[in-house]
Amino acid sequence: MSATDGAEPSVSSSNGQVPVDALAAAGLAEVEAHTPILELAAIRAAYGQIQVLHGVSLKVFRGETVVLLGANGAGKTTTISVMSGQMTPTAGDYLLAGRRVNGAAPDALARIGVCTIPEGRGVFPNLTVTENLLMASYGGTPAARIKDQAFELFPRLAERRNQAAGTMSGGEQQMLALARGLVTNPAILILDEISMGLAPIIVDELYSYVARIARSGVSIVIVEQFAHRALAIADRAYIMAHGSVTAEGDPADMEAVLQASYLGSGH
Amino acid sequence: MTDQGSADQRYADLQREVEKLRIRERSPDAERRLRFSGVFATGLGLLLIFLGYWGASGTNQTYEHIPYLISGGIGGLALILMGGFITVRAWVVAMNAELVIQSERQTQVLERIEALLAEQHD
Repeated sequence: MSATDGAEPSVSSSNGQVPVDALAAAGLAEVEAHTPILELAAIRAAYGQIQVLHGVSLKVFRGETVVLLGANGAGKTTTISVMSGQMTPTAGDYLLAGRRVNGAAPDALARIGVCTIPEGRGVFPNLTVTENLLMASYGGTPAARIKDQAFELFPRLAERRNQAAGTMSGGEQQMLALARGLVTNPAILILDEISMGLAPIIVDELYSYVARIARSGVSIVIVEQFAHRALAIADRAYIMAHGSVTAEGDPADMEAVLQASYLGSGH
Repeated sequence: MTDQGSADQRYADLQREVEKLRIRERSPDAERRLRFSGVFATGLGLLLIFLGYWGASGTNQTYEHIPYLISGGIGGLALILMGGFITVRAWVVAMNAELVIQSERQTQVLERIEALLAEQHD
């Protein structure tokens, strides 16, 4: 809810008329409040000659958790590649806080607050948990703060701080990947299949952490095969098929759509 | 319940940072244009050599051959070499992109198998 919702601008001049500047500022604030933090508008993307995305449009508003669902080959991971800057769209607009960022490098996007946790976790297996976390200090965050923040949210990582990441379980590695992303204090967190290859009980635990992160005001985009779990914490959901968005709406409605389709609910 | 104040603050921080971002948009057609320019340079080189030969063949004075040799022969050869290099480079890039796609597909399949095995194990 915008601070200006339902209220007239309070600034007035001595002659009782509202100055044009004040009206413009109030209008701008109103527009900004409804500007998505991340928006894809008619995005098309291709691997060489193979067209993968055919005009994908989606919006993520501030503090919102959005789930992207779809079968294998629907274009979910390619959509995430566009969001993280790993792929440049062949057409369409990629907007962050209202500014077009098509072609921005992945490291530049990561630095400004777009954190992507890729499928397969991407931890450094030969480095310890602490060393992995300190890889996130490239943005200038002090090492002590990184460790405090990560170990507070994930106490299990504190217990294993000197253990090589590659020797931990899949769930713990995923926690490490999440922690490493979070300590950069991102505005947007993009999660690609965080439940991949994990036992359901571990997936539940991970999703409880994701819900906690969402409550802290981070905007989250989740690509997931366990639709049921992801929908449980989402504010909105999109369904993709054959490189296009085929449905969008409330998670409860989308669950019904999924149950009626070939996807299943991933229970 | 989402902390809306924190969400607004994160939005403001992102907005500030994104304004500072310097973007040099990479054209998705850049590789295609490069490949075309390679083929074009090779063709132009061949044409220059032919024109050089054509011009030189019209006279039997050695000193008149020299401009044709420089413009047509050496210039044409340089263009053919440059065009050939660009074409080979574009071909290697295309092959590499194809390998990346294949590798990603294989990785996805392996991860699906891993996920299915994990589900069965549970």
